[in-house]
Amino acid sequence: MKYFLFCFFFFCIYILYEGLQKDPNLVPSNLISKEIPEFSIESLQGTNFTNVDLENKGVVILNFFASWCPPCKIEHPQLLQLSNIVPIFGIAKKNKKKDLLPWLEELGSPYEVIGMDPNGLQSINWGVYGLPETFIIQDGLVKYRHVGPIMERDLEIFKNLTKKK
Amino acid sequence: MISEIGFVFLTLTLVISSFSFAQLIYSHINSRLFVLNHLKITNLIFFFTLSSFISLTYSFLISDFSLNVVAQNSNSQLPTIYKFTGVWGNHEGSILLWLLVMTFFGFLFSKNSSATKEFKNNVLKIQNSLCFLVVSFIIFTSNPFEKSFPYPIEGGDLNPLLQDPGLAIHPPFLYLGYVGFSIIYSISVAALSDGVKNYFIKILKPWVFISWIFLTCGIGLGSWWAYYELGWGGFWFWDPVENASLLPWLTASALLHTIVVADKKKIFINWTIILSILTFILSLLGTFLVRSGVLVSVHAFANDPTRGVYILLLLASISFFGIFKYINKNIQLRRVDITLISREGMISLNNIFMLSLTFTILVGTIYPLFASVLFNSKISVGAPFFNSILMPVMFPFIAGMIIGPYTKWGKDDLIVLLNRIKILILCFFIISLLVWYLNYKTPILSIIFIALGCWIVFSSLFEVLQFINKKIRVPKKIFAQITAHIGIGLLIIGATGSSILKQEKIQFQEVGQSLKIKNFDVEFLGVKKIEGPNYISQMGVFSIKKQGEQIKILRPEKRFYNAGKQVTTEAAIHSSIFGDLYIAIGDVHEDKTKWTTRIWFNPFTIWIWIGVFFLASGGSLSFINSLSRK
Repeated sequence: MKYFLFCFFFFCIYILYEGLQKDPNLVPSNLISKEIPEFSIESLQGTNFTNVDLENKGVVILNFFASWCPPCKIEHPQLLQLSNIVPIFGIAKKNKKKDLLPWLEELGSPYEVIGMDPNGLQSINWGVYGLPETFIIQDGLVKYRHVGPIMERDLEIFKNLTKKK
Repeated sequence: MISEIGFVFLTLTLVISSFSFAQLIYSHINSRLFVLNHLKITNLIFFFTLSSFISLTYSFLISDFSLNVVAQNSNSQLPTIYKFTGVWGNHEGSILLWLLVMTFFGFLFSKNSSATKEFKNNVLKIQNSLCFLVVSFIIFTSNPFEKSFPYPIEGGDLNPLLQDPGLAIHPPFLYLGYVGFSIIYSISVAALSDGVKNYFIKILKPWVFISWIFLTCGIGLGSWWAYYELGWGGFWFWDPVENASLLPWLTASALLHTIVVADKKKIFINWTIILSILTFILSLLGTFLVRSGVLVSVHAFANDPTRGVYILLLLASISFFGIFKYINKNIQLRRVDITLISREGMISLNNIFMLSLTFTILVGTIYPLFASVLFNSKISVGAPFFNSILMPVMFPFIAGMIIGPYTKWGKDDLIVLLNRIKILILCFFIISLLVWYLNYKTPILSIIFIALGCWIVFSSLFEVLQFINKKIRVPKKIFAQITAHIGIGLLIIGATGSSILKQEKIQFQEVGQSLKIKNFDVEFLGVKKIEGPNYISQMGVFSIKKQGEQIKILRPEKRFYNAGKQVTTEAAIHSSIFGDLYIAIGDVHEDKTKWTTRIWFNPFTIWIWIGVFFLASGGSLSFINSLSRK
């Protein structure tokens, strides 16, 4: 009984210690190491934007955002910084072109192509539950998912993960 | 200069308390090596910590931005009161406050006359060792006197959410509660070394009450603050940080009841010790969960993994020491024969429910952490889990609370008992019918819980009535119990009203538009820009009418704090005994004529705060009582 109690005690402490090493804000995606979902949507420029555009390009970033989402505005400068080292694609969720264009004009666009997702269907396919969310895609496979705005402190992770090998 | 002196005092605390710590460790190897007067050490470290705290406070008041904490958490524009409360509005300062409270409790205990000198010495040896662990934590991982050079000319501002009188006093109260349990732990562990003589119960008793009162007030104040400041329209969210404070409260409440039996009947002595140690362990666990950031919480504290490891070490060593001491003494839990229908039986029942509640809430709170480590899966446990486990436990709990006070010590008979309270049972029927008649349209669960809440209040009042009938003055002890139980009853009514019966309206409201909620007409008159001392505010103006007559103007605000670029919501509340009309204002719509407004009607919310007040008063009466009966 005594030993059992002590073992249990140390087990709990061990779990708490292990828990310390983990980031509770990290939300893994079911898509990690899997192929990206197929899609074909209209882009802001009116062209066709499909999953093929994200494949065969090495490492790319896909960012779900909207002009109506204040945290997206917060992560915008970081995206602009990242756009210098890696191509960034955007999907604007439930966003009208007339709202999106002035927003991009004001802040500048880090995006190569922006896909429009007027009814939020693409966000559901990708398992996005809040904005902004960002995926790092390598050769058509999802490598990393980031939930919430990319802050100054997250840039290191992004820079490391998008480094060309 | 002053801040350097503060650091010197802190270092002195470390050095001097280390003597106690060294002896505590060493006495296990060689018990008669050196004898120390721990009373003197206690007095010294209290004095040094106090001086250190005063110098930190002074640095905050004069806005000495050369100190990192001051530069990050204060601002020269800040109103003086918030410069002062800013001392504990950050991690470093609040842990220093923690230490101050800890040494203060030691100091008070050293002045406590009822214990023998030897026992006092033993208790303070442990208490000082606890202080040593905390002060080394402060100096090595979170030193409030850390400087930077060159230092900024202006500070970063105190988090605007903390710039509020409610929050200014909430942490000190919570700490007085949390840390108060440290002395309970010290007394219990010292009692273990002493061979568990019964007299320690009398020494322990007032400390249990005083810590419990402070924790009750602390939790109450925190929830009151969340209610009117966060603008979410609720008072309890089952957030890990809230649960962390509830856990020691529950075990302390169990302890509160047990210790009465232990004092009177000299049974449950070991159980008292277990509860005391457990309560302090849970306080520390709470601190760990809150400060290390292992769980996702709405409370954003500054988190730092090294600090997390240190607090875990603190938690592990203190709980290990407690458990080790208990097991090492090899006390067998004595078998006590008690019947269920007796005062002892009812209090045991209370303990069983309190502890099962503690255990389930603990599991719900840390399960996400275990799941993420063991199964690598991400889950979150939210309010529905806690609400659904709370409900079934509540029924027997309330039943015990009603019957308990009417049972006799020793052995009682159910039939005789029911006969004794037959008038009360009749009253229950009438109350239930009345509650049902007044609320028949509302969900059945709310009717049940409001009725149960009323039952508790009534049965407590009935107790008083019995004494008056017999022309006896209500004994102080009983009066305290009655007051606290009425508090619980009111709390149940308030919580039920403001959760199940809540009405909510969220909409874009045009200027001039009137909305109906409950029996109020809420007309939106417009938005004013107001400038505060360190913020700009958008103040919505709402006219509240009842049957066409204006009864009040409500002014909810959305404040933009200049320095930190942060936004806070200040809800406006019209309180009455039947419920609160609660308005929060959001953003303006694109067409500039409509605003998001959130209007709630929260029935009976005021009874929650009144309930907490009753609870604390009941506790205070017991405390005074336990002091005077020495």
